[in-house]
Amino acid sequence: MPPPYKLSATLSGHTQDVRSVASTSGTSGNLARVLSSSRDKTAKLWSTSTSSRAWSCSHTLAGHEGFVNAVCSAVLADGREYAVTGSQDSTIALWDSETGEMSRVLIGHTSNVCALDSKEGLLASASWDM
Amino acid sequence: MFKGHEQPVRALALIPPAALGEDCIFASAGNDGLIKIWNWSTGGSELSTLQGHDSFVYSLAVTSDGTLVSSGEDRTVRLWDKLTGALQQVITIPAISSA
Repeated sequence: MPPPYKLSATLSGHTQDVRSVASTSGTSGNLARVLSSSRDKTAKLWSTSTSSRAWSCSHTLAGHEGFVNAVCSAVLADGREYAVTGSQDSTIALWDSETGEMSRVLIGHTSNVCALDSKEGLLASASWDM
Repeated sequence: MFKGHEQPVRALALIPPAALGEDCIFASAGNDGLIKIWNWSTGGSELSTLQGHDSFVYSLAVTSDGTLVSSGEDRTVRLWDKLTGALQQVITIPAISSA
């Protein structure tokens, strides 16, 4: 049995409850990073370094007009890694993982986007619009 | 359809590996506080039920070594052994730091 897990870090920054977390793939020689989304209408990208165990928020992804209830990391057809957020505002936003800038907004759902997942360039979303 | 839970299911997780030719196993959990393990490939009843949470389970995940991790309304994160399903560790939030 592996040794028990212990608390390694606490990431503070969100101003409302955190609804979802995800990890990035850590491709192209970069360390894997953590994504979080919150009812404070933002998502945050957190990173650490090999030299220090401290975590810091490298980007705050702001732009949604409602709670951000789902987040995932996706490597899409252009080979770039994106943070993908799903919101109570019914939209899904794609954010460039390097710059933190909003790249695209996917409009189609008509209610809260509650789940997101990605694999092999595909993105799946689920919503209260059923 | 996989029937067994008697309250809403809040989380799902694939339990790897599912190599070519192997059955696909997954876990479900929800408001009944139970975690159920299912065989997607053969269907039917659950393979096993993991009890321990005192309230709703909201989230499931699997670590790189196949350990199933669950968390929920009872403020705990629980780790379950990959092979036996035995409870390996309970982490109560807020947790004591390792530092």
